[in-house]
Amino acid sequence: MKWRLIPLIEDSGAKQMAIDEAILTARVKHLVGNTVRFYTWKPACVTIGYFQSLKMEVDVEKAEELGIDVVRRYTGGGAVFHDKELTYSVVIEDEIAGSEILESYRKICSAIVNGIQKLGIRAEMAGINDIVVNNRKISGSAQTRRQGIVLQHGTLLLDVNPELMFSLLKVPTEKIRDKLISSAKQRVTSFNSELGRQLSVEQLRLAMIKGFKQTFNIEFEVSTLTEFEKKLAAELYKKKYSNTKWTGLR
Amino acid sequence: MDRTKIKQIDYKVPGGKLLRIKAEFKANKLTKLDITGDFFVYPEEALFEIEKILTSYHISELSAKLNSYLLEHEVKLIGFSVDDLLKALKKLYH
Repeated sequence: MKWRLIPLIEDSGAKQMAIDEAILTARVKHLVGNTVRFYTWKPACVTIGYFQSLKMEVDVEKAEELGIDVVRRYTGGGAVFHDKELTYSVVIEDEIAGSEILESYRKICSAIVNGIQKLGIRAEMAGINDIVVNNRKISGSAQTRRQGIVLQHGTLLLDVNPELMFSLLKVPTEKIRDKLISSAKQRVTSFNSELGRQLSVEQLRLAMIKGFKQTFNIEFEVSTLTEFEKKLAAELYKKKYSNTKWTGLR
Repeated sequence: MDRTKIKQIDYKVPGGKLLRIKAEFKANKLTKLDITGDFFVYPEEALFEIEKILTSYHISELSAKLNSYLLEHEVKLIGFSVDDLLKALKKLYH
């Protein structure tokens, strides 16, 4: 079976979220096949889950001051600071991913786990949507579904900066900010830290591609976004993801 | 005299996600509810209906109403359950 692989795209959070939704819509309309893509964030960005409150989760003024974007995702889950990371996004039929939600998280995350293992790191799933290495989170995912199609996207942390992350995320009281930073250092890891060297975005991407191929027993055909997807993504970017009405929805 | 009271609680579901609930009471009656957090609801739009049900019925009826809505519309909650939601709501009343 052949899936489409979109070449790496480096762009803003609002554009990346718009592209993910455009691919989902194109897949629902049978305009494209099952698709995997990888992307990086420029500038760095905080995304919040679909159900999160912007005001309660993010210090928007601080983000603005630091030139960091803030975007609401189409998917649920928690707030994430995307900086030195590779993000994966997969859009496939639920028949392949699994019609049960937790089962489909496990199936797609097993491709990521396999990819991580190609780098010589032992990883496993934890909780609903996390992947851990020695109990420390290295990847988190979120998914949404439309008419039998699953969109799942997730982080692959190349490096972490808890100090910067917690300067952007709201914490219950200032007193516990330091505690959260030190606990994040205990609970979160990264590829660079696990390998003790700098892993490039491309090395990580290639490992993940192998993980997807092996787990789903597929081949990839490299292909760019269709005109329909580009046009829809531009529209979603303008009307939704870069719009403060959407970002401040809750 | 304005008798509107706003109450807000965070309820961390054991082994699950965080429910952050903001409620508006008028004359001790729950009139508005905003549920936010890092959980998942499929389909996502169902959360608006869940919030509506929570403000439309007496607390004693909520478990049955919510469960029947979720079943009928095939709504899946990930990271919390109806029981967790009701536990959080009861905390708001105290």
